[in-house]
Amino acid sequence: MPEDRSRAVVSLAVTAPSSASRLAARTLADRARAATNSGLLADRIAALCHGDQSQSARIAAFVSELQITLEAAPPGSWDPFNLRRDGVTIPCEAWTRTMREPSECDIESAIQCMATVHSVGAPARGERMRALRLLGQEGYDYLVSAIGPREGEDANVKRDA
Amino acid sequence: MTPDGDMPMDAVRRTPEGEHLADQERLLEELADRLVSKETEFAALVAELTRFRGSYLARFAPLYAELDRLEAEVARLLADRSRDDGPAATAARAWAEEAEAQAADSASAAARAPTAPEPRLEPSPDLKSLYRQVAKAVHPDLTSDEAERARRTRVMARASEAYAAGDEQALRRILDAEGTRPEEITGDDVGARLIRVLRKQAQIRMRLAELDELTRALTQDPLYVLFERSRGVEQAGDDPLAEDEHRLQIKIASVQARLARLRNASSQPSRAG
Repeated sequence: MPEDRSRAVVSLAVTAPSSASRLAARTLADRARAATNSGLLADRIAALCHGDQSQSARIAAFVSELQITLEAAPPGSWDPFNLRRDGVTIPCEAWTRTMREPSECDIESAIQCMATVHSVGAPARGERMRALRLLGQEGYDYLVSAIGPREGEDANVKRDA
Repeated sequence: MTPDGDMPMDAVRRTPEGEHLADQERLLEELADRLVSKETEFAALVAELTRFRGSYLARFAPLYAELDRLEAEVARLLADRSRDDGPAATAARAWAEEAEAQAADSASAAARAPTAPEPRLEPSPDLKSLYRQVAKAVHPDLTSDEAERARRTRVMARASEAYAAGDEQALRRILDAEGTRPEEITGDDVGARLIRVLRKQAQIRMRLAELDELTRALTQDPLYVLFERSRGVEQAGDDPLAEDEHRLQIKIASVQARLARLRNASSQPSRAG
């Protein structure tokens, strides 16, 4: 049977892989990533926030804004997931050593800081300073604008304070 | 009357070879029915998928193009800021190149995409029935004459396109035109007729296998997977892609904000500390 015959009979999209297929693959990957990311994040954040749902939601929104993706780490890795941003996968351990700007912050520590800042009753200046150091000024300002300072907190902490 | 318009079987049925020919012709008719059904199902699937593809591209190709364009800008800004040759700078430049290639690809897809989602066209029972009649009348695998097969292939392609477009008039015109064609005249002996019947059966089996293969390839395409997952939701009256679209729009807004921050940071003197 001539090969072009089926093409003639079908004559439509089926026979030619297309840009539509590539975009559809991205949509499917986005769905899978969103499901995995939100699932992993929800677990981590819920654990850190000791079940405080409103706090979890604020932190999840902040992490989401940073556009960081959690993905399952390869078997044998010390941590169950890696962080991915800007097309680069970075093991958690590497992230803990970079503290220059929000895109490079140690997100795990930042989550812990935020959880602590928002869960302890005291002003927790030490924790705020730790978050500032981890996130950088821009990241800290962004954090405060995203989730807001607690009552009595000074939102204008500066790195050199 | 056989599909070739041969003489009735009564005259030859009394002989063993005549009985065998009659059995094979019954089998041929069964195979032909299966082929026409399968061809109709496949054409319906292709038509639905084609509509979905148009709607999907109209909605998502511009969004992906915009997202990729913004990400390529972010990537290029970060790459330009990395002036050393360390691993971070190399990764930034590689990401910028990858992002720019992706932006070019999605911009091209967006340029070719339909400008508006296509309306859902559920094939009517009449349309399905018409296509089935056309397939039965002109399917290339129901003739053993090579020239006739070539002609039927062209007609069948036109019928498939008409079906995909929901064009009943075009299908009816094809059917009417076929009805007025002089029937194939045959008057061969039992042996020749048997050979012809067996060859047609072989052709039909090949086409059935080919349809299976085409369907298998189709179901592995990501677009089909997305279509299949969307179909049930769409039939329930919901928009199966609304969440995907929303997620993309949020991502675009987020990358826009990030790009603005990066530009702002680039235009300001660096902070002390």
